[in-house]
Amino acid sequence: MTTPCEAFSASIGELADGTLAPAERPRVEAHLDQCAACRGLLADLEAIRRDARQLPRAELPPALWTRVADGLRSQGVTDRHSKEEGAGLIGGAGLKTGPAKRYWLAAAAAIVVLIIGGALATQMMKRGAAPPTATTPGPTPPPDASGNANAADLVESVEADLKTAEEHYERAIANLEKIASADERTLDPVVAGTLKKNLEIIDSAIAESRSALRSEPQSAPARVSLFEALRRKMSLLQDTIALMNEMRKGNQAGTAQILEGLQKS
Amino acid sequence: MIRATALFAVLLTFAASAEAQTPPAPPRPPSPPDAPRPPRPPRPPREGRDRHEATDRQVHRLAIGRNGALDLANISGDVIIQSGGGDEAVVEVTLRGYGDTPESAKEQLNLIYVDVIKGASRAEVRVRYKERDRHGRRNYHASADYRVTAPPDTRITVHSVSGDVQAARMKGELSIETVSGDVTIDSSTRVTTAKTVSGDVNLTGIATEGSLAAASVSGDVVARGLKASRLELSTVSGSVELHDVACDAAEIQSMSGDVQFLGAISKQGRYELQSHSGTIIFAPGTSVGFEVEATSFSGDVRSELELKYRASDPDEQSGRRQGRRRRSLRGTYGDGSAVVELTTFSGDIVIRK
Repeated sequence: MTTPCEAFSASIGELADGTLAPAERPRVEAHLDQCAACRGLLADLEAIRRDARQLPRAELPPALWTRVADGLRSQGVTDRHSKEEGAGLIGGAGLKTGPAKRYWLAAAAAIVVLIIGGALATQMMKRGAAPPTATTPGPTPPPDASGNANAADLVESVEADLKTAEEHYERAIANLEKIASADERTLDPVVAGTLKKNLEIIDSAIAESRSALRSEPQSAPARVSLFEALRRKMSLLQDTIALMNEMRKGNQAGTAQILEGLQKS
Repeated sequence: MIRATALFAVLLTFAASAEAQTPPAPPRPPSPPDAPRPPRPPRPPREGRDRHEATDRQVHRLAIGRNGALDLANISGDVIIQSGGGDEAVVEVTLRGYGDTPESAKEQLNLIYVDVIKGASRAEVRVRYKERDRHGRRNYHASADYRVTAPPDTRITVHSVSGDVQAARMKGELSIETVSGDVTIDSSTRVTTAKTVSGDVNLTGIATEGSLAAASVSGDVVARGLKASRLELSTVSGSVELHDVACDAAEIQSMSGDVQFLGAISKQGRYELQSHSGTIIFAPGTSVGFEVEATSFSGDVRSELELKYRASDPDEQSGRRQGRRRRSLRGTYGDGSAVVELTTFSGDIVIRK
């Protein structure tokens, strides 16, 4: 059975990180007012956070990120598991059951995978894909044969992981297309137009980045650009979901219909 | 759920068709750093079938204390929040109905109402629309404007669909999200969130102790005189401009707009600026040293500050000299205590004095 303090531990962590939802804050603060232990926990977390900011930034070896990816795979962090985790997250957020729930869960699960995969990919690109071989001419000392082999293996591993991460993005988009087919109703044209235009901009960035990678497959900035654009697209979709959820909570009569009526006038 | 699903339907239909059709956009020239912003044009008077207006002004006095919380939700209309004295929040709501006759305007006015939930130290004020009748859709031609005066330490959250939101001189935690409209916050502390989909975010004279997240999809994010421990600012098609900013960490992104950071950085700070096709201008002053890695796929990268280039800098390795056009640089200014990453795909990067 969960104790009251255990139930608040995650929220206290979010409070210390500055990520606690404003709506949650009064409930957490009310508990903190009554609980010295949790106040102590919050103070500790804030102290750790302050101290951590003072630490010098550590440059992790590129191979670490490959090992992290291997570890995730070996622990079965696959789509199937992530979908289950995603369902839990959404359920915790208060999503009600409905005809399109399975599509939302699939989409949420895909996004969870993307957050992990995208962060991993970005770190790998920034660190692991820094060209250790022919793309950096200069007076670097020649590595021995085993070093060359390790570097080649590493590059190959990074390439494979990047490809996997990109496939995760594409799979998420495919899941979202299932959502699209679940409902054919239209949206307020002004908001939809804004989103359409900006998704086109992101898609244009994705297309440019892919084109650049075709001409320069080892280009780190092109890869960073591609994954940032993919991540941004998912972020925009996530934000839209969150926003729509908020709007629904405060509006019983149908926000889109109201907007539609107002803007036609 | 259905509505959100409908949004996705539209989004994905658009997204699926866009990738192959849109040609690469050329990089935009950098905008002047201190160009005056044009004033927002006044709203045109309603005409046609909505030329008649019926109004109902309500004032709600909410005794929530000096450190209370206030949640505001609106569908259509502006929200103005300002600091006041005492220990009560005063929420003035002007409901408006529109129609082609005075009677129909009154009928529309009757479709909306204000829902107030009051607790000891917390209150929620929401404008609600009456449910659709059993015959199907109801066409709403109504809006509500809020004018709120609250004790300065009040924690305020605003969720709005269509309309501008302004807040000034508040000291409590402030979180504002709207879909279509500008978000403007002046002279306030503890601002946590300022987001809009279609509109600009303007922040002036903000000194917040914690993190601040500001975002737009199609508008600009502009801040002047901003202090925060951490900034997360983003837009898709607009620009991000920071003037006289000071923060310990910043993550700033635009997809097609420019990104400008003109201000002070902190020792041990971390700053990541990114744009796909816009220009990045980074002017951190000269008082704090930093390590910088700046990369562009096809744009130019240059520094007006005297940097000590690292051995891993590509141009150092290839024997080129400083001053030539380059697409990336890795260097250190001063003691290199802060970390700076500047990344574009096709835009230019300029590190300014």
